[in-house]
Amino acid sequence: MLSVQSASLSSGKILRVNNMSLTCEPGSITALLGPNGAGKTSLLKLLSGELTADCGELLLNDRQIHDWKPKERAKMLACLPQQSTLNFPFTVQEVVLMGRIPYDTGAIYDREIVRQVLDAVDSWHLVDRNYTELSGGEKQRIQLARVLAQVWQSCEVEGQTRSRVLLLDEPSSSLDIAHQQLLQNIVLDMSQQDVVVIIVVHDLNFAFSCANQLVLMSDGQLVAQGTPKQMMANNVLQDVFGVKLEYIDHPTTGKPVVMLN
Amino acid sequence: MRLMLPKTCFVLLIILSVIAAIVGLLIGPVQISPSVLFELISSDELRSRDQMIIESIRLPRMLLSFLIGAVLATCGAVMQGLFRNSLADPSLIGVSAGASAGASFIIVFGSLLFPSSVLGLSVVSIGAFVGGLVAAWIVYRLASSNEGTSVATMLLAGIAISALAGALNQLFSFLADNDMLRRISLWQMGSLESADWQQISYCIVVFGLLMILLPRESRALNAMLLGESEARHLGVGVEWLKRRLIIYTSLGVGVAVSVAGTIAFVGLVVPHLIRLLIGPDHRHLLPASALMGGLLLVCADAVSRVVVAPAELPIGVVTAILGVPFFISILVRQRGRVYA
Repeated sequence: MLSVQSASLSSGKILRVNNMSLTCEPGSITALLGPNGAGKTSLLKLLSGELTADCGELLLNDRQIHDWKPKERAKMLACLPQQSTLNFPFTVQEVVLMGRIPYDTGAIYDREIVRQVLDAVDSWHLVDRNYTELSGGEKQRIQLARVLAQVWQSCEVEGQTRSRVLLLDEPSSSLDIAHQQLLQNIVLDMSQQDVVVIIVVHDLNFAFSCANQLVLMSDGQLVAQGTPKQMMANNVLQDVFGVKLEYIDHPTTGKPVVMLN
Repeated sequence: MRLMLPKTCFVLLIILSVIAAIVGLLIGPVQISPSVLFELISSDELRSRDQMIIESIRLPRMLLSFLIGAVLATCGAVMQGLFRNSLADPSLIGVSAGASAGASFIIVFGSLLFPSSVLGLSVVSIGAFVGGLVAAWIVYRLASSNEGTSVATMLLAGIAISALAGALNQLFSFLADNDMLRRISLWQMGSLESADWQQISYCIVVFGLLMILLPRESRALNAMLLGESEARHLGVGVEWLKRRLIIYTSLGVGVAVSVAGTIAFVGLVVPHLIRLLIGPDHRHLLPASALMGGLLLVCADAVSRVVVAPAELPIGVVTAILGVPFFISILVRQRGRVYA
């Protein structure tokens, strides 16, 4: 479980996150929505423990996030940043293996996990390629695989099974449509294993079709929070994004689909 | 994509190092026949002149150049990982410049303040070591804030401190008399001429420390290449890691510079070449860089003794002349590729 209580974060004079509270239960998928500069990434950095809130508290599995040892925290919480700056010529296998740095499970075991996560992101054929020579979308899949490798299996810390947290910042921005669907399935799979998934997306339909909790932010503040149906009913998305939206039901799944009018 | 496996690379480097060491012992102003080496190993009889040359001049020198090369190359590899730039160099954090300033200070004012020798090491060496550490520490303080250490600020601070140390250095040179001036410039060009067993044991200790401490940081260094926040998410204590690495490299480079003067280029190019051969994984990169740095400096030292015999070229000149064209050719070949 991951929860943040009345947290604020400022950099310089700018208030990035203003008095936010959010609780994410195991197995929930939370989508952070909002216009550019709304503070979604700042909130995600706060949740991952990368930035420390000016005030408020952040609990990971009922303990202050910074009270966990870094290595134990890494076994419970993995985070995929928006961009990757890796420019050293590692092979894909080496990059994904770095997701196993918090573990001491041995090379053979780790390679098997690398095979599984690369299979999951449809990139096993890239395993021996040079990471720096891949396309943007391929790099994004490999980074996703690396993050998945970090929380792929149930996690035991101090003798207890702890819930795992997966934070994804715009993971689908460079993916083609087939791999976006693949990503949705991965996210759903992980939540079925009781992983807490928090995902920053701009694609509202992506959020509507897999998230069960939507969090809408604007100017660092929480504007609305609820299920896709609730968000659709209160029309708040239109106001925040300043566009006219239409909703229809998906012909097969029955989930809401959003369109620009 | 990789040119060889790490194991192949290690074996090759060890074989080449042994060959270079043997050749380095035999050539010089006085050519020595290989049979002398065997006699030296197999018998305890009265030593000939050749044996004396090997034992008291060339062997210490060869060992010292290997150690210095290994230390410089390893520290270069670590700095490049820390800065996430394969063209970074230990001198970037101001250690070399600070060490030079420290050495010049001691050469000019030292006779007023100190006896000529402390702990058997010349005071100049200690001045260089302290100067290097102080410079690195100032750069580090300038670059750190509550939010962590910014690599970009650290590079810029390194440039500023290097400039300041350079200015101090010139000031000391301006104040120096003729003899001091000559010592300053010789020192800065780098020299292994005065190799003795005390310096060697000093270097062995530092090299051994680095070889024990640095491999523990290999995986963390790999994670750093992904980015600082990624490393943090992987459970790496980034701030302490950076502090430790700065201390280790200041120590390594400071000691190397204090013993042998400024030897440019080894720390920059060796890790770069090893990365081309076996890839950037620090678990292999660090030991392979150490071997190759040692090998390169043994060769450079041999060349410096032979080309203008019986005189000697400063070794820093040799490494630059041998290495820079090589390095430029790599750059040209890599131009247009994503990393460089």
